Amino acid sequence: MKKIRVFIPYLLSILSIVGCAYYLYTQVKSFDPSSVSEEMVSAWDEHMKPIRDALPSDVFTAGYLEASDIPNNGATYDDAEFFMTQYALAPVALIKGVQTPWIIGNFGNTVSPKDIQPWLERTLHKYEIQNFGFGIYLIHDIPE
Amino acid sequence: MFLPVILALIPRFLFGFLIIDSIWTSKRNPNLVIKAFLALPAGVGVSSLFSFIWIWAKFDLRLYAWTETTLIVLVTVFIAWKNRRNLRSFLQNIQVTPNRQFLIWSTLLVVSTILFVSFFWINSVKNPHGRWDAWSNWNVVTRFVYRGGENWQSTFLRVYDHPDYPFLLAMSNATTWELLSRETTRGPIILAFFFVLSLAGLLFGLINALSGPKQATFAAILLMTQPIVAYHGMALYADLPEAFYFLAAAGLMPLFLSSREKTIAIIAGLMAGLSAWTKNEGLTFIALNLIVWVGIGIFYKEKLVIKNFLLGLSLPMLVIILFKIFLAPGNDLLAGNQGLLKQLLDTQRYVTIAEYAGRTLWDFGSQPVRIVAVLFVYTILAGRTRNSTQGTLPVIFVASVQLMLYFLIFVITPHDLEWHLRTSVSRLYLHVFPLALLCFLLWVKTPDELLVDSKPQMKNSHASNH
Repeated sequence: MKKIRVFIPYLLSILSIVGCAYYLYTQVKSFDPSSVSEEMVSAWDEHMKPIRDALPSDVFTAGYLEASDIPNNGATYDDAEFFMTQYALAPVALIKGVQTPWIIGNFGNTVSPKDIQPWLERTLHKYEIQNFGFGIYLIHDIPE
Repeated sequence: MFLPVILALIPRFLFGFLIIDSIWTSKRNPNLVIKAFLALPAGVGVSSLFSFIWIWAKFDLRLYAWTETTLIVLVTVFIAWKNRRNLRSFLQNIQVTPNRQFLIWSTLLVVSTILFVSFFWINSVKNPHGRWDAWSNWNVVTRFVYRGGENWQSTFLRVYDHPDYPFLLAMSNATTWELLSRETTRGPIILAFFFVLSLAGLLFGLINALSGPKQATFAAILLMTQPIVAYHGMALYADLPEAFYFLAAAGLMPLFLSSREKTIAIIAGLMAGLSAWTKNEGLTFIALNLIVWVGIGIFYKEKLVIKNFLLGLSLPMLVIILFKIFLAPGNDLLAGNQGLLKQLLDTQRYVTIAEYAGRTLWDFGSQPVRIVAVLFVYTILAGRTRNSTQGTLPVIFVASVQLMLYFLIFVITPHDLEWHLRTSVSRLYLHVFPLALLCFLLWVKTPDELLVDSKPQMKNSHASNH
């Protein structure tokens, strides 16, 4: 028994290495190189670059609207998209709602500008809207 | 982009080494290994404290980054030149006498390191911005600091989960970006990689100094072959840096008790302070460490170590206090919980937490060979060492009370309990996992002891064969 015990640290080390290698093998097997280029956060970052450029450099807070903010829309709030937008647009802090002159609209493909227009007109009175594709808009609330 | 990032981190590695070496002047080889693995986290930690104060005073971070880098390089060159004879004789005296056991352990360690590095990089390629918390809580702050210039404080206007998270990682990565003059995801990835490597190296170094190189290699292999370690590294969360500072602060206690080098307590204090500058969990960790160092000071009549611990703690603590008082919004866990008493009296919550914690402990490590089972089998078969190390009990105290406090946080959390448990239990275990490995491997027999134990029987069996 004592003779066997000498090998325990080696055996447990090897066992742990084999377990780790097996886990790595399952990771490599399921690894799809094409998924890297479609990685969600990088792709979102790219979509948001034109908005970052369009925002004036002295703006450090912006509002955030999404499809679920439009009444009777049926959409549910997607916090992943909110946090990815925040990550992409830093150092502009996003505040949910329309309290700021500049507002990011993330309405996705299910809501068209025509759908949101009546609600925006009621809420903001006078505004300019720029479409950046992928259902993303930059709204400028113009003070009267 | 890898090499420029590494080059940007080297001065902070040197900075950390100079700080540690000037405080703890021991030149023993095992202690030099510990110092080498303490260096980068100490360097980025202290640098992040200074750079934070710098930008808070409305100075330019780029100016700080280049001034710090230039000063460190100049001081290092000066010190290296001054000590060139010692350095040359040190390098000439490094001797490795490889035997069969050395080669086996080295091979196992190399294989583990290759697996760890592969796992880390495959997942980093998949997630260059890290996992959810990395971009929603940590690296987003780095972007506010780097892109925002003097308006970096707009980060506090954000809607977020944890508004009062401290700035160690944000300042470290922003400094790297300033030195490179560009934002790159490689910056946070490589810093995270070196934190994990430093964690494994420090665990090796501490056990090497106290129980010898074979037990130390065994520890490093067990740590690096847990996919959860590489996963949390590549996820770019702050939990692995937190685990590092926990190990560094509490792991130095047994080293102090075996050597009685009082300046070790200064480094322990600094590391405990940096843990709270990494994540809020470090605040309770500081309190527990302080209790233990006071206990050590009184019990061993070494009152100077209490002063030394507080001295090491002072700089990070000062910055944390200023940050919490003047900048950070309220903590999400402590603010806004109306039903605190009701939750404290709800026994079902305790059962739910205990069940979830038990299941997660058994699954901990995320690999088919359960680490809990491995440690259990080793304890049964190997047994307790004859050369017990002083100081493991205080470490066990710190780690277990820290876990109890985490348990209490789940009891009083204002968040949905199921969600909170699901998203954080495994990473909270990760904070104390290296400490648990340290205590365990200082408590059980080493491979050398097992070899000595087997020798009489080997002789007997040899005799009986004749």
